[in-house]
Amino acid sequence: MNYRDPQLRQQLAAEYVLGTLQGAARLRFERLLRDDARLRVEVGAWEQRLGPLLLKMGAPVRPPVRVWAGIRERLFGTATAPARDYLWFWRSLALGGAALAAALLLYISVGLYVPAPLAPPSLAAVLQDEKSQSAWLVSSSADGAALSVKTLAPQPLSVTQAFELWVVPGDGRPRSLGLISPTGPTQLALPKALQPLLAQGVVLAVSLEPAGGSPTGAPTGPVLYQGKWQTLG
Amino acid sequence: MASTDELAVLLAACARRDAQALERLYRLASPQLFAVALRILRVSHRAEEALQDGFIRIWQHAGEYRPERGAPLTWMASIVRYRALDLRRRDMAARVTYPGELDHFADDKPGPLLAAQSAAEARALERCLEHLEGKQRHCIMLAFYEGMSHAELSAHLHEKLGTVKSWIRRGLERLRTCLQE
Repeated sequence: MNYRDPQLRQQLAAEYVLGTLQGAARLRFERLLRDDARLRVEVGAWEQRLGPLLLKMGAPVRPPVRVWAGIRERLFGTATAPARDYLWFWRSLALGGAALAAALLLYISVGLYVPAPLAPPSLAAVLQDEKSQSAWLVSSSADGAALSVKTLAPQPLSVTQAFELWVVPGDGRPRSLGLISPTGPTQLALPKALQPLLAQGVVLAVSLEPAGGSPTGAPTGPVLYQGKWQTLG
Repeated sequence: MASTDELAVLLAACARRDAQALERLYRLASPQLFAVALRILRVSHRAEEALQDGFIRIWQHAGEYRPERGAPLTWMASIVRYRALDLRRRDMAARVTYPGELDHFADDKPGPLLAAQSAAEARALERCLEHLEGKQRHCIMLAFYEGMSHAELSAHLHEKLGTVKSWIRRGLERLRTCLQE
């Protein structure tokens, strides 16, 4: 397809906004959108044209309270708004538990790495959320061919979602390291091609993706956690 | 209904990572946004998921909102709708069926717009929709409101795929020209 043809661009932008551009064509279009500012303008114009329809999609319906609880949980990991006392009590317990677990795991992992005095320094990363709460501990095997990921704050995900681990090297282009379990430890084999990317100082990040992982090869969902890959201990 | 100004101020505060602004924004906007997700996904738990994902995205992209790109509520509704469409596509691929008669929702008559934030734009759109051929309008409405694909529209309307595609293409093109006038 010739994506420079103005009429085709117009049509694709319209059907993207309408929703009838689907499947592989939609993904291709989304990739194109990322680097094509003028195409984004076309899409914006269609969003504006059809925008008024959005507000007549039905009478307002108050969503169940669990939706807001879930948002707060995912963004802040804890109550930020005045919560009911008992809720706050449980949350503070959970928070204390998570912090304790973080400290303990760090201690254990540092302890594990110390006894090998001649081994090259082990690299690891503690990934934190926006509130600087530690959520994941990522460390590499001695030969650098595998990664071990531990969750410091297990969190259930819906079956349609997955956490994906990324390395963001100097060129700023994230490469997927694989999907990680939201609740238990994960071992990831590190392909040879990716091993050189895990140099000291690069950023590791976890994004929320559809089940099965990002369909595009780049993060499509929010980046919820990140941390620096560095020497531990 | 919250004023456009208040929603814009709250979005700007969200961009500065003000969690209380997000809570107020949620309180004001979520009922309207939930209606958008429900319309496309029909089942509450799926719509809840779309709303939740949508709000996470709103929080993360609040700094990108620009008033010239439309009213804040429309901007947010558009985020939630895209997410709902994603979930719907995934359900369709997994052959999950949705409850409810389609025809119950298939009201394609452009009625008075609820809470139109830019009344002039809304009126222009209504006028131009009325100028479309009935079939073109029907397809566009079903796609927009129900998230139907070309193939679903073709099955639903008992029309050839190519016919449905060209109704949509021509309808959108006419809509664009009409709105330019």
